[in-house]
Amino acid sequence: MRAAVIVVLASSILIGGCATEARVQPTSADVCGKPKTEAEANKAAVLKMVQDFWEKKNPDSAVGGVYATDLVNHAAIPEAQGAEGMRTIGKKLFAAFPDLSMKVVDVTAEGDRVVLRTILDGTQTGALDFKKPVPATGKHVSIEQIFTYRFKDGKIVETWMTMDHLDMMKQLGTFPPRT
Amino acid sequence: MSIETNKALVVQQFEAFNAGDIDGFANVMAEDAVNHAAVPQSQGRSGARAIATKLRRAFPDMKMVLEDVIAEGSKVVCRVTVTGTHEGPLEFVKFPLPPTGKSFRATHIHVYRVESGKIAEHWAERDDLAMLRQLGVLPEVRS
Repeated sequence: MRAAVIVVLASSILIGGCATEARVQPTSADVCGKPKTEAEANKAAVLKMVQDFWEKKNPDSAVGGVYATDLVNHAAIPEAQGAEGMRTIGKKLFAAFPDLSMKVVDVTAEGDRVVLRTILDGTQTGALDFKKPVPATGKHVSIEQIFTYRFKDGKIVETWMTMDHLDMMKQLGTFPPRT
Repeated sequence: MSIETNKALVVQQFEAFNAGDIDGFANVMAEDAVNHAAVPQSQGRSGARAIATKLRRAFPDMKMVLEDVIAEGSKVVCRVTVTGTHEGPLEFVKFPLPPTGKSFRATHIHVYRVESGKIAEHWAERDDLAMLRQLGVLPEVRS
């Protein structure tokens, strides 16, 4: 098995002439300078989405390119599913935290999965219009999140996110909640 | 180390935890492992041992079911469904809690860095708010 992999890699390097890092599982889109594995292509797609979404603050264009219309978002309520739900979440977040930014601190990818560990930073100057609304607190929050994305045919079809909601409530000063 | 070997190491730790094997849980950690999800006084292999001991005392039936295992290079990521019944005192620095008798179910995502066949670094995001609500120690946020 190992010998076969080495032969394949050696052939692709010699025939392809690409002086790039040797990789297994070449895809049909295997071109010099382009991502060569499914995991690398997915990773690049997620990082481009993060850039469009968070740096350009443009949920509309960021979501359209990479999220499947029927995306399943395990971190969102039933009313906020699909690519459209992701656009809505983005717009509501930016309305509440106009300076919101996301820094990617770690990326792990394998097969059809990509994982991001990120830090979200922002000041809540507007009301957060989620199902459980949070009036503007004026507080700054810095929250670590971990996202898992599952890809199918080049689109994100499923996503999971975990974060320390308790820590966020403490930072916003909304903990303990009013009864 | 291949990613499969690294995955096996991490899976082994979850299996040890679920079996109540505290030594097995602690022994896959490097002596000086850095746990970003733990307080400064609970670092390293001894800290991991203390955390597992406290969790099993508070939730003797605690189970961590692996939903997804993803690895690249020296990293392994696990998405986990955690369940448990709160039958003993939870003695964490951040939220000490006498037994409530209630059960919870929550999602965690853990990230590990493996070095020389041991877990050298660990990050985690846990929905502790969901856990505390299910244990009945927090009122529901008004809707």
